[in-house]
Order: sequence, then structure tokens, then C-alpha cells
Amino acid sequence: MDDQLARYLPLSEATFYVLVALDEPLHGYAIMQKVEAISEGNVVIGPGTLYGVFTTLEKQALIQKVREEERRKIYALTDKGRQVLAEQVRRMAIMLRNGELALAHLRKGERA
Amino acid sequence: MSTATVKRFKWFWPDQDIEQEQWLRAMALQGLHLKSLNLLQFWSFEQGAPADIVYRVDFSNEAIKPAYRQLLEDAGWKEALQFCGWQYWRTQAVNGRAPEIFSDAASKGAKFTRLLGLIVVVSVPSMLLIMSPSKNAGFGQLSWPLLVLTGAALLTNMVSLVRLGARVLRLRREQH
Repeated sequence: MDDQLARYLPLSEATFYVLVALDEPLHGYAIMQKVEAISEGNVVIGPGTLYGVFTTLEKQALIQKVREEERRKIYALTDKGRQVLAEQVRRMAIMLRNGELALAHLRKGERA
Repeated sequence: MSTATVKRFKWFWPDQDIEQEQWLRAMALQGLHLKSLNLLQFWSFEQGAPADIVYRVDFSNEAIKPAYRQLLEDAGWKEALQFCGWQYWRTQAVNGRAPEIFSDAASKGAKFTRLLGLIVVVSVPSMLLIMSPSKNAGFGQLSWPLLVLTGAALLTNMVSLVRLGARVLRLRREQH
């Protein structure tokens, strides 16, 4: 199972945040605003880039269109999308732990 | 007072999106707002109030899909013009900040890859025809003015191809 999910990883920062923003069904512009807010302004996705991300993620069946409201497509995460996100987060938690350990080790070296 | 139209000639190679965007923004700051464009790169501007308008250039072989247009409009972009697959979008700069339509190198490069493909498809048949050894085809069959015109068009396409190729490679390096 993990092997099948692994081929979608690592997610780009933009793709990662699109999946995270879709913890509730949203349309494109709402995703853009949410990503900018929750990433504390670090990730700003342009509408053209986002549209491309939608196309790819839809093809990979990680997201799906749930309905359309006045030409705005509303997307939601699929089960597969949720699993890919979970696997990415699991790996990032390991990365974060290792990064913090390395930095703590370096700080100890400085004091010595 | 009717609005005046100002025409300018300015040549850009198809890889020079950034240069075009900067020029169009500078024109808007002088109150000249893009209205139309023709094949020989005569640009028409409508004279109006000076404003800090940011322009972004895109290229696509496909018509703009309604959902895509909606997303751009939601994000504050308005279509300035469409010409031969080129799309010019504009929006007001906010506190001097220039928003992007494409926010990473991969999506920025996609329009150039599309354009490159199109130029290859368009130029290869005419190249083959011109280089054909047959006496009924090739350069020999063309009258002088037509020869000059065809030559200029082909040369422009070749230079465009090389420049676009270099730009795509540069953007690809930025990704890594």
C-alpha cells in the first residue's frame, strides 16, 4: 500500500497546501486565500498554477469535483488523497524530528 | 472628451514575457492602457488615468475555459486582450506588490513548452518544402518579394525556437 502512495511523494509545497486546504470542500479562490492564510503568507499560489494543480490532482484521483456553483468548481479530497496526505505528513514528522535533533546537536557543539 | 488611442511599435521575442509585462506596466503608469495588438507588434493603448496596473502574459492553444476564467476573475484578474493564442491579463497592483498568475517555475515554463511545440509543428512542413530538392518546390519557385517574406518569417521562427528553448532550460534549472 505504502509503495503505491509513495509514487505521489514528495508533494510540492503548493500541492501539499492544496490537499491540506481541502479538509473541507472548497472552490479555487477560497483555496488560494486559505493557503495564504494558514501558511502565514509563506505560500501564495497563483490562479494559473492552481488550475494546473487541480488538473493533475484530478487525473491522479487525489481530489474530485463535488459540485459546481456559477462556474466555480468545488473540490474535495478523495480517500486516496487523504491517504497520500497522511503518508506525506508521516514522513514530514520524521524529517522535522531529525532536523531538530541535528540543530540541537550543532548548538551543543558550539557551546563546547 | 473622447478617449484617444495611442499606437506604438515595439518588438518582443516570444520568450520575453517579463520584458513585455514591465513595459505594459510602465505604459499604464503613464495612463496608457493596452487595448489591442497586431501581428507586426503594433500595440494600441487607450489613454486614461495613470494607474499601477500589473500585466501577465500567457499562451495557450486552447480557448480559456469558463472555470479558469472564473478563478482568474475571482483572484482579481481581467482579460486585457487575446491575440493568436496569447492572453494578456491585468490587475491592480496592491501597495506596489505585483501578483502572479503562475507562482512556480514549472507552471511558468508550461506556456513556453506549448509555444515551442506549436512553432515546430508550423515551421517543419515549410522548412521541408523549401529544402526540397525538387524543382517544383523550394526557394526557386518563389518570386523575390515572397522569398524575402518567407525567409524573414522562417528566420523569425528559428530565432524564436532557439530563444524559447534556452528560456525553457533556464526555467527547468530554477526548479531544481
